[in-house]
Amino acid sequence: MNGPSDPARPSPLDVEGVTHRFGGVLALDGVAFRLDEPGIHGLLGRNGAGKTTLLQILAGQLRPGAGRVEIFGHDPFERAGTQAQLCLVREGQRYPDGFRVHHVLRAAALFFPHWDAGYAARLAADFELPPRRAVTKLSRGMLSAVGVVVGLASRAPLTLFDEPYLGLDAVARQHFYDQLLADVAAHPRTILLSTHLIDEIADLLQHVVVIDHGRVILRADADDLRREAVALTGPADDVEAVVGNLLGTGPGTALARERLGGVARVTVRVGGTAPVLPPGSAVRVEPVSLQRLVVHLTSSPAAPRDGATAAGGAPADADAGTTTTPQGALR
Amino acid sequence: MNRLLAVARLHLMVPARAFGLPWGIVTLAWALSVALFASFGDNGDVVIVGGLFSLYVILFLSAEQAVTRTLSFALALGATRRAFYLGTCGFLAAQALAAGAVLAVLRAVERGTGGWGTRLSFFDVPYLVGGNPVQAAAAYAASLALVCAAGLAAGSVTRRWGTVGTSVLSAAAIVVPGVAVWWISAAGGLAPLGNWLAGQPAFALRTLWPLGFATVLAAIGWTAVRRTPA
Repeated sequence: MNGPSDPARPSPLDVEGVTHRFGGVLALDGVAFRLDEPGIHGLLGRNGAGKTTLLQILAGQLRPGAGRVEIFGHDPFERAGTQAQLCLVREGQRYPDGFRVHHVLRAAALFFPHWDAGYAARLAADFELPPRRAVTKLSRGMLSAVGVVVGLASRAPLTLFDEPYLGLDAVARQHFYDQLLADVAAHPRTILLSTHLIDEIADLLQHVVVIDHGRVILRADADDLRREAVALTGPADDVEAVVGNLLGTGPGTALARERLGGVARVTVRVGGTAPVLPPGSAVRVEPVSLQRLVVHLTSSPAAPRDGATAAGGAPADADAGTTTTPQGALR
Repeated sequence: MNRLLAVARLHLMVPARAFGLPWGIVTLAWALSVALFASFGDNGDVVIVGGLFSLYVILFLSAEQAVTRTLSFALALGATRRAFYLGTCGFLAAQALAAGAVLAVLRAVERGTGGWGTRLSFFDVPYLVGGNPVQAAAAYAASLALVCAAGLAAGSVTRRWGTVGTSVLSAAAIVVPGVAVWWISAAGGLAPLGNWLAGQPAFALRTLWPLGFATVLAAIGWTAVRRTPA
């Protein structure tokens, strides 16, 4: 995702050095990443990490204090041509007074050039949205469903979803993921979705950007991230021996240590290197889910800034980072 | 242009709000006034009621809400602030013109029917309007445009600077004219000012000056909206 950009077909999304303050609070600190390929991408991070601020800046709804934002090659702020390519579905969207569900959909039809009214109607029916219901009378989940319908049916070449699932039950969320996958396959476009429910959507994601305390701490292909870390479980001494070997020979970082009696479980960021076990070792090597990886990476008060991650490679400065875990500093 | 029209259509999306509410209230105020004064009997005086004021209040509030409630949604749909503001101004101007024409017709009917048979002066508000129906329509439209622009400015300042901004604006709206009158009076200019105003043609006073103030207020609103976050 860091290859040279083609000036004829600019990236859907390219940001560099985006910094933003709210009063004295540094919400975003030098955020830089680019999305080149259509598909579904994840913006992951904890509450207050800066996800919503970043999405608002990407959508041109907020002007960053510093930095460069390019959406299809142009600054989205107040640029009508770029705005027509964009849709931001944000949590807590306000609607005009007196609006009912069908008003929202008709209003969206006025503005989004690629709007599919038939698809919107089918989605609204799927989510059991009563078209005549006043927006102010909708439950939290139904409000989220309205946003999901608008975001999907907009077919905007760059669609940004900011935690679109609040209040949706598991069935409705699954329906959203299914629709997202099917519709993006049928009408290829770029989706950037911020979420906490990482495990639910991990299989859909192509690229992942993790932000913490306003900084990008990880950006990589989701496939690479599945090999990024492993959990080693077994007799404590054996596990520590393997971990010691891993950390000693390669760019590895122990992310978390759990111990119960003589059994230990250590999560190690190996950057794609498969750990080598002695023959007959009682140590089990298990993959670490994206969600657990993000939890480990962002549970420290000040996680290290990660360098650029090449499309197929390991983090450039993973070995230089010092990751503090709740269990204490490990390197 | 398409985007400006889309913004105008966004304001018209719920006709019950755009038309039903203001004209419903005016109809109610008018019907109550007519019923009330018909029941009092005719004592020979022309009665002026302030019922039409309700229309001005509602259009002020609608213009304010256009910014405080609708701007965020329009931005979410990909309208630019510029398109939103120009489209909203266009919508409000068209609304003022149409309402002005309707009010001028109602005023003509009122005058033709002897104040709805009860010597009621509901639409024909002295000083606010006068002259022939076209001049009356222009005066109505200009005064409605003025309150809409005031609502737009108030909503824009609220959107950008919150309650503090609105408070400062409200205080300024009272203090600045007050200080100006005090200063002019202290300089002995009140009488000449009064003469100058009295010498102004009615068309300027009823139509041009309100439109001028409306333009200034709309410009103030734009300076607040042009960089506001969504």
